Amino acid sequence: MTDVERLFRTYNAALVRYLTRRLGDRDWAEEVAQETFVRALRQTSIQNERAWLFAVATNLVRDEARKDVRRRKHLALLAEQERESAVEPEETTLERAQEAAMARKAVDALAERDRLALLMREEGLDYNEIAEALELSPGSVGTTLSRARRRLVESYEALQKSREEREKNAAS
Amino acid sequence: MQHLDEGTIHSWLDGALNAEEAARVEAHVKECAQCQAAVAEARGFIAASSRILTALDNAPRGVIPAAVPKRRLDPMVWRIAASVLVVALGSVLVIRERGIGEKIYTTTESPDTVSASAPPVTVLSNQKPAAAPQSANAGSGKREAGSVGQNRSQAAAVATTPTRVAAPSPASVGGGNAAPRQDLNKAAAVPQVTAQNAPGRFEAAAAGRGSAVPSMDAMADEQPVRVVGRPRALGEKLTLYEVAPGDTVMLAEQVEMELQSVVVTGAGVSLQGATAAAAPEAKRAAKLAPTQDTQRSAQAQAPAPPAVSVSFAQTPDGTATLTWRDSASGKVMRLSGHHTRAELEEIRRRIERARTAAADSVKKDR
Repeated sequence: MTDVERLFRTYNAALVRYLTRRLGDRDWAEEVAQETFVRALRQTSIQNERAWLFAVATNLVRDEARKDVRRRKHLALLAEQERESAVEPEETTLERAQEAAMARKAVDALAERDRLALLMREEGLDYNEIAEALELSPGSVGTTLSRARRRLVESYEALQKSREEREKNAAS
Repeated sequence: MQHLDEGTIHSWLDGALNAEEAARVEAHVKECAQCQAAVAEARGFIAASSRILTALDNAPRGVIPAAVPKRRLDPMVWRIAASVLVVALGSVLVIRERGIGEKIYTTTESPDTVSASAPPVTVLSNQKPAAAPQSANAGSGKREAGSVGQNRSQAAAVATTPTRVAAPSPASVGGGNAAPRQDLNKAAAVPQVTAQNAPGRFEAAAAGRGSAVPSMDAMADEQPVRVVGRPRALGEKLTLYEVAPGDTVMLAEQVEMELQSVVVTGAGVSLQGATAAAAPEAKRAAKLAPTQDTQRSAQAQAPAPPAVSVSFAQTPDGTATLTWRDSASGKVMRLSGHHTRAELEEIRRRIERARTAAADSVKKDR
């Protein structure tokens, strides 16, 4: 097994999940993850593999996003609207879709650095790895994460609340 | 000790503090109700944010439209539409020009020609009346599809010819599956019927099969075959050729010296009842074989292959097989598919040409 194979087997799932959460599109996420491993191929040595992979993936997204951020935002918005307006046959599915849409909104509302730190943490990166990948000082990771979590949860709950109110109004 | 800040609490809960710091935090939390509440809250945030993020894992694919491979159907729909339109137009033109009472020659423009994928082939070879009706057979239809490419001008030219009985080939649809072709047939059928008497045509078709080969030769020249795939197979080298849009042929060259086979699959395409023009005057027999069911046509007495010893066989399921020895390599070649013998002969020639042709011409085609 080559080194890249090992890297792939070890980190692909986490990387794709991280990117999916980050991007909201699994295809895109897989694409970026693949490109990340391709970059790894060219690397002679990588010190901290996980931090390196997540950093490269993050930068790939950033570079690409910079190119056509507006187009993607628009499309993502359209997709979201479509999801929200879609009438799902099953309530559970609808419920889940709404949760996903709210989660997306809440995550998107975070500052980029907070969002990335949080998503990396969720994939098991430790504070040093997060600091390395995001070029933060290790001491600030705790603060970054605590802020990210609080904001995420608060904005999600706010969305939840306004949805409940909408539903209540619609019912009455 | 002052109260713990939120960052420190999260660091502690995340196990990011060293032993000494962790011990200090732990000791403080034990004694400080305010910090205990803060820790509880932090735990809640950690758990809740994990849960929220999990909801993102069901992200749909393709939210951001990527370059999606185009479905094959699309071009086909256009082809069919184009073919139907052209056939209809051609028929109308001819009918108008010649009058209904006369024998009508109609040409159709093949979608291929429209798309330029298949160069037009002359449908009407200048065969002498004595020659058997041209291509009456099913397979020829495909080629003719290309040929149909000749346009109206040609049609006009033909029209002036004393004997004009060519019927539009259903195959002209060019590519696709049987269904569209049949539709086309229907469209094409109208003018034909008015022009010729049906029974005659069918008889001619049978007769025409024998003579089909030469005419097909003529037509074949311009038809490119292109490589569309190279499936893997054990012990042999396979190449897929597209002989007409939607009509794929497989050439299998066995690695071991003996057998080289060509397999043609043209399921959708074979035209079965090649119909030749009934009338004797129909030198160029109508080549319009309606595309229905091919198999039977294969039973027709195929003409002796022009080349070396060639044998022909057909399985019950309608797959016809042509076997011969390649003069150049000495290898045995096998060509099979839902085609008539004449078609297979034709396809074989085209493939041989393509194989000998420069590789770039093939690439160019792609």
